[in-house]
Order: sequence, then C-alpha cells, then structure tokens
Amino acid sequence: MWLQSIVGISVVFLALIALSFFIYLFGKVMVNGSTRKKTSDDALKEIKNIEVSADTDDAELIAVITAAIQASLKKAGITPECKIVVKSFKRIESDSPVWNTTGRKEVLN
Amino acid sequence: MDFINAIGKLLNESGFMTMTWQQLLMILISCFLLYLGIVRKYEPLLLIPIAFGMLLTNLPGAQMYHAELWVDPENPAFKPDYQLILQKGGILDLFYIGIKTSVFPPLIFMGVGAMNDFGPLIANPKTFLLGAAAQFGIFFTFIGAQLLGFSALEAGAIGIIGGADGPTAIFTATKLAPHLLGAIAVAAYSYMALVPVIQPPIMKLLTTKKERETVMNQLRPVSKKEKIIFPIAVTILVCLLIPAAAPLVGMLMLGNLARESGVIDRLSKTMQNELINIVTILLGIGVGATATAQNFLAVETLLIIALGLVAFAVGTAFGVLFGKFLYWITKGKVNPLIGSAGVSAVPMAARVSQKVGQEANPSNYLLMHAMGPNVAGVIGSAVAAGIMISLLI
Repeated sequence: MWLQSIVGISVVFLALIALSFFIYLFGKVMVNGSTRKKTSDDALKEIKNIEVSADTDDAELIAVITAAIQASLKKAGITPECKIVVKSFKRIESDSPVWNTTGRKEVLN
Repeated sequence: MDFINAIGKLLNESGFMTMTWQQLLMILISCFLLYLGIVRKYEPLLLIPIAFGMLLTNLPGAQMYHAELWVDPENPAFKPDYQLILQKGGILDLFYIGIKTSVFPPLIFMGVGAMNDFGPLIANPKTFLLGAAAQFGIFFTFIGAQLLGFSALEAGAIGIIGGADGPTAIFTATKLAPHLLGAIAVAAYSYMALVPVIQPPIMKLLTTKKERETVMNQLRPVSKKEKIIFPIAVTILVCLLIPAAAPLVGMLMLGNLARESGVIDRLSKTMQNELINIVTILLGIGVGATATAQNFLAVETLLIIALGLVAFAVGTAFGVLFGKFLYWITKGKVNPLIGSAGVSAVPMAARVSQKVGQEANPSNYLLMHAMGPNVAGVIGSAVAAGIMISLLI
C-alpha cells in the first residue's frame, strides 16, 4: 500500500517532469528560431513599405496606423527615436480564400 | 368481478405497492440532487442527468437498469455477459454499456481537449509540476481509504476523486470498483462544484499575504507550431510511459490537435459542442443508473463522500505548497496561489486562483497563469489514473 503510493506519485512526477523538460527545450528552440528571423532591419523595411506614396485626408485612420506601427516597433525593441510619419496608405486586397477569412472572423468574435 | 380483479392486479403491479423504503429514500436523494443542480447550479450539466438516472433506476417495476447483469457482489471477478444484456437489458443498461466499456469518458476528454488552450502551459512548462503535485491527494486518500477498511481496488477508485476530474474518476471507478461508481461520481461532481467553497480557505491558510500579492510576468506568446506539436509529443511520451493512461490522454490530445491544427474546424466544433453534449447526457444517466438503493445506501457511500473531500483538500494543499516551493526557488516570481489550480476542475480552479489573488492585490491577474497548472492537472490526473489502474490490475 505505502509502496504503491510512493511508486504512484513518483511516476506521476517523473512523467510530468519529463513533459515539462521536453516542452521547455522545445520552447527554447522555437523562441530562438523565431527571434533570429525578425531583425530590426526587416522591421524597418516593413515601415518603409507602409510609408509609400500619395495623398489622403483621413486623419483618424492615419493616427491609428501610426499608433499601431509605433506599438509594434516598441515590441520589436526599437526605441521611438526613429520618428515615423504616415503620409499615405493603400488597402491591400487579402488573398486568402473567403472561407478562411470567415473562419478567422468567427474565431476573433 | 373480473373488473375488480383487473384493477386489483394493476394496483398490485404498480410501483406504489412494490416500493421498498430504501427506494423511496433514493428517490428523495435524487430529488435533492436535482434541487442542487437546478436551483443551486452545482455542475448542472452533469448533476441533472446523474440525478435523473438515479431517479429512474430506483422506480420499482420500471426495469430500466438491472444491477445483477453488471456486478455480482459475491464474485468480484464477475464479467458481464453482453449478449444477455442486449436481450434483457433496459434502456439504462444500454446506456451503461458505453461507460462499462470505457467509451464515454475518453470521448468527453476529446471534447475537453478541443475546448482548452494549452498555450499557458507551453509558455510556462514549470507549471507542469504543480499539476503533478496536486495529485498527492489521490495517493494520500488511497492509503487513507485502505486504513478505513476499503480494498485496494476500491481505495484506488476513491482516491481518484482527488484528481477533481469527473471523466477520469468514472473511467477509473468502472475499471477498479464498478459497484461504487454511483457514489464516486456523485462525490466527484459535487466537490468540483464546490471548488470555490473548499479551496480558498486552504489557499489562504497556507500562504502569506506577501506571497498572495505576487505579480507574475506576462507569459510569452506561443507559436502555432508549438501548439500543434504539443499534443502529438504529449501523446507519444505519456502513452509510451504509462500505456494505461492512453485512452484518456490520447483522446484529450486528439481533441486539442483538432483545435490547434486549424484545418479541421468542423470536427473540432463537433467535439466541443454536439459530441460532448450527447456523450454527457448518456454518461450522466448511465452513471446515475448504477446508484441503485442496494448499491448506494451503505455506510461506504458516506465514507466515500468524506474521503473525497479529504482527497480534494489534500490535493489543493499540496498544489499550494509546491507553489510555495516554486515561489522560493524562483525568488518570488511564481505566485503560490496558482498551485491550487493543479487539481483539474477546468476552468473553475483557475478562476478561484484568480479571485483569491485579486483579493490580496486587486491589480493582479493570475487567470492565464493558473490555466497552466489547471490543464497540467487534467494530464496529471489522467496519468495518475493510468498508474493506479496498472498498479492494481
């Protein structure tokens, strides 16, 4: 009875420690992999792409877009010394199938 | 004269004439459980079908469930004869086939897997240990029940109540001690409903105010790839290590994979809605049906209910104590309150951690942190059940 209990709880711990260790290692690999991809250069390139061309007077939307870019820059670890101005924006048509978009919207709601 | 005879015969055959006082008492108990479910909202989704199954099985003459087809109190090695059950069984016997053959609990687990996000656990794998620590209650009660005179098999089934996981308790009880199934299921679901009452005093008793106020760092975002690989990896690791846990853990992870893969939304939605609902109905009624007067009205039932509470309280206490240990080794980065969520009872136990944490520090949000040990608790109790089954059979 005592032996069974000790064996029991030890195996539970062993199993979950093994899982925990595996997930920890796996997480390490994944996090390193994903941070390497996103360097600040890429982030800057993205901003330049957004900054392109033409004219608009939708001030509110510009404010929102500017804030979003600022926020994502901050997240990427870039301090706001690079000041950005959104001069224009262009809507890019989504190329994902309508079913995927609907599914995504359902998840978001 | 014939007319009077006919009336007399009908009267004699009616339930009113054949009812024993035990059956009447069971009907009153089932009405009380229905009251708890409907008015007090104690886990109504399960308690109402269970209580109604109890009601039906104790109506004399209705012949919906035949205990003698399933267990023989004299002969523990009795094997049910399914041919006979299909021929003679009532509708509740047929529902019970799904439980006895261990089909329903894994299907419920599939739905649970499809409903839960394992992200918080992946982001903070340390919390796996809290899910393991909370299983202490199971083994503590296993010893306690044997000291009180239960057989090892019965003690194993009773201990699993401490895992605070209904399907796991039912799965284990049908394998180890089917004659106690009714009492164990009622105890397990009642305590799950009472989580917000039972846990906070234990949590407050074992922690200091400073510990309860601990704010935890925000969890790192978890990528989709990790969420997809997680269920596959857990299935392989756990099922190889403890094959007896495979039906529960395998189905849990299949449900989760359906959710996270994102390509079988239809299946995932069915698992977390229609399928789990249908199975819950059949499981509840079938479990209730086993609570016949002769099974349920015994001193053992009261003992099981008391031991269930012990199992639950000890599980919570060890979860919190292990949380304190993590608090100590991480130098105050882990709030010990999330340890109590290591008993499964998803997501109620995590909400309790959140609530108690906010009482100490109103700006503290522990919910997502507590979800980690909470879902680890589901895996942990399934693993513990698997170990119990393989140790005892």
